[in-house]
Amino acid sequence: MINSCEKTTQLIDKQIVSRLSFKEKIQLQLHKSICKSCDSYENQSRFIDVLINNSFKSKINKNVKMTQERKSKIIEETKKI
Amino acid sequence: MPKQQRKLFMEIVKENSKKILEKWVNHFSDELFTWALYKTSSKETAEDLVQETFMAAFNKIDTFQGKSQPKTWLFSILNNKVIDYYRLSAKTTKLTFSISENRGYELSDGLFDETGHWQSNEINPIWNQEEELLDNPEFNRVFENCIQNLPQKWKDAITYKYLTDKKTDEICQELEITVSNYWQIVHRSKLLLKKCLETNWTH
Repeated sequence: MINSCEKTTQLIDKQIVSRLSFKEKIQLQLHKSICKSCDSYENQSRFIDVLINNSFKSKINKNVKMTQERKSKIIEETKKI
Repeated sequence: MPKQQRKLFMEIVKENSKKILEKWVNHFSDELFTWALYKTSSKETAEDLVQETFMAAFNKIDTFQGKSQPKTWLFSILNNKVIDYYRLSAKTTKLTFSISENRGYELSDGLFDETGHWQSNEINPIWNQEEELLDNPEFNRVFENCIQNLPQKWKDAITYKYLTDKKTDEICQELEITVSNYWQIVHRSKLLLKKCLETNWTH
């Protein structure tokens, strides 16, 4: 049985975060070999991953750190409990 | 246990908890702070949330079973603190343009017809220009808006793993979702991001 495109895109995204069973891998290969849109979706999905990573990294400010004073204050506060 | 002995025992437990917590503050506050800062965009708020996280952790340290890593446990407390923070502030300000989860399901279903085929078989030219678009500031801005539109929970799910290259099972524990729920959310988010780019990038 050949999967639908909807099911195939699920497998494409699933394989990035989780593992596919042997059957799922075969089904994925089979569908991609006959469907250009899904074959392209696999690349699109990876590209979107790169974009998300870039967006996240650009918004995180690694230079802003919690001060040592503030950390000591937290430790002090727990001692009062 | 006699009363006197029990009291002494509890004192020892409490003292040990303090030592453990002190170690955790030194080890994990930077990472917790980075995430809290990303979520709230305010240094003061982020510091307060990290402090509240440790206070809450100390108060319920007896519920920490050691089944998960301390860091994972602390992150799940922090995530709940962030949710509480937004719940309180949402009453006074409208902070987000996020669509609801139901709408997210509806829109992503809409990419396919009843038989599960793509509504449109055409491959948008965007996907042949990846190299150039990656460094295009305007394209990245469009993408940023697309991310902002996602349901809040989905946004967390897709960005979380980049915080420190977390493993899937850690992400799921910290966000309190199942693995299958997690990859479904990631999958739906990507479909929406694809659609959003194809609609809004017209160069």
